[in-house]
Amino acid sequence: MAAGSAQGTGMPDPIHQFEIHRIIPLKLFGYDVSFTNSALFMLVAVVLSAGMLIYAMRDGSLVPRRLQSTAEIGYEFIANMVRDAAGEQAMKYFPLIFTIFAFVFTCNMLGIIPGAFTVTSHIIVTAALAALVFVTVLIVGFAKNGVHFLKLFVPSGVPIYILPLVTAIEIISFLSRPISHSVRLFANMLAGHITLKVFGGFVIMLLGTGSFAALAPLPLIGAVALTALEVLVAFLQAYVFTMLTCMYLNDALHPGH
Amino acid sequence: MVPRGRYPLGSVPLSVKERASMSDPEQDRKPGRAELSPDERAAFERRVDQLGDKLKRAEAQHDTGRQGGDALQGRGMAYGFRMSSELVGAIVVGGLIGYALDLWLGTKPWLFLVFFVLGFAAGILNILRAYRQMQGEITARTGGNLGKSVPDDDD
Amino acid sequence: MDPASAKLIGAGLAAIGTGAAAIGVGNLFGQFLQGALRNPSAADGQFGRLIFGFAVTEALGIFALLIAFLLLFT
Repeated sequence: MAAGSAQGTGMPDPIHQFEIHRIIPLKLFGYDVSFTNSALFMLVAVVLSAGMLIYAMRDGSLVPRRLQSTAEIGYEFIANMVRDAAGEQAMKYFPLIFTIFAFVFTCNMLGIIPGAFTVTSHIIVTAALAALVFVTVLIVGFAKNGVHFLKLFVPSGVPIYILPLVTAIEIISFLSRPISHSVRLFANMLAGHITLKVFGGFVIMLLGTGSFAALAPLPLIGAVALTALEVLVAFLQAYVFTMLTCMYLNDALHPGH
Repeated sequence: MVPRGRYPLGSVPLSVKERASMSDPEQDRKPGRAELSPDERAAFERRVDQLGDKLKRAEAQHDTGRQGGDALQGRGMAYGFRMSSELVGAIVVGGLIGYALDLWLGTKPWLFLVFFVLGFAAGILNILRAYRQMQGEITARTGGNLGKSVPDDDD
Repeated sequence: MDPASAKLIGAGLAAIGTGAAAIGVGNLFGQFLQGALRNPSAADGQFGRLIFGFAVTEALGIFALLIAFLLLFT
């Protein structure tokens, strides 16, 4: 822990877990495209989620076994969410939405394993996902509705003299989507993992104080309880991320309301 | 699969299809026994429908009473996460737009102030929409049961 | 004191106002929930007032934040 220690306080550095280091250095056209631990865990998440689903559905029997049942529950869960939030038309985009959910959920869950790297605690990853959703919504919106899509920014039934103001507000509201979309996931994962690490640090600090070491199990219990909370948060954040993707798609498909 | 041992040799249970095809000629021969008159049939169907309605109502009540809170808890937390970032996101975007316009036009603090306030308005709008949606979801889930008072002793 | 550092301290002091607004918003929603559970049938009708109160309360906190930003960036 020498590298991860803040100067002399004995407190393990809670930020240390988010450091990205290169595993296979690589340069391409002047850009640093090294294979990092972040990329490794992304790859693990993709292989794990895709592999689990493929393995679970290998027989495709009518009466599902345990693993297949799990996969089907996940599928049904997202399919129902898409139908509820964005209508039957949106089922065309189900592969995208399910992929986003599977990736975010697996990354969040992988991050809870002690010592693992949390991909979603880096804003660049969540921002890329949010930008993907944002651009998809824009393309779908304009492809489906043409110029009609811009009616999203001009609500009907508003007096003409405050229309510019309302339009500006609507545009800001629309532009704020990718920001809040990405920051929420990133901030929740980051804050949760820092809290966990700080509680873990309390255990180490208390163990080094002689007689107060008897108190060390208290933060340990706290850390265990927080881990349970983090599991819930990991699922909820993936759920919220997917849910909002559905709602934004709904706006692109039906801009009238 | 059906366990073999329960049936004596040679009397393996027939599938549903086989059984249906076997009973068909029998029904053709004796129409009076199984058939209901149209009136009776209608009455029967009405009774079945009523029973189904009753069951649905009872189930809905049961759900709101016991399991509703449990299922809504996670959703409520999800909405809480959403709303807090919804407001901040809109304000940040408004402030950034204003700041960029200020840098571009050289009107140092003013456009920033204007767009900050506009961003705040957009944030309130976001929250309003999320709240409406949450309310709609709760109503859909509990059958509007949340909005009605419990019967009083006076009623 | 250096004016630049005074500015930073002032920005920090101004940001306390956002915390005060947080108390207000917590109070607001807490009281609303309390009232709504006592008389659920009236809760939906007061939604507009709830949002109005929230907007006004939060606006005051936002003004504090605005002053902090102004001190920091201008």
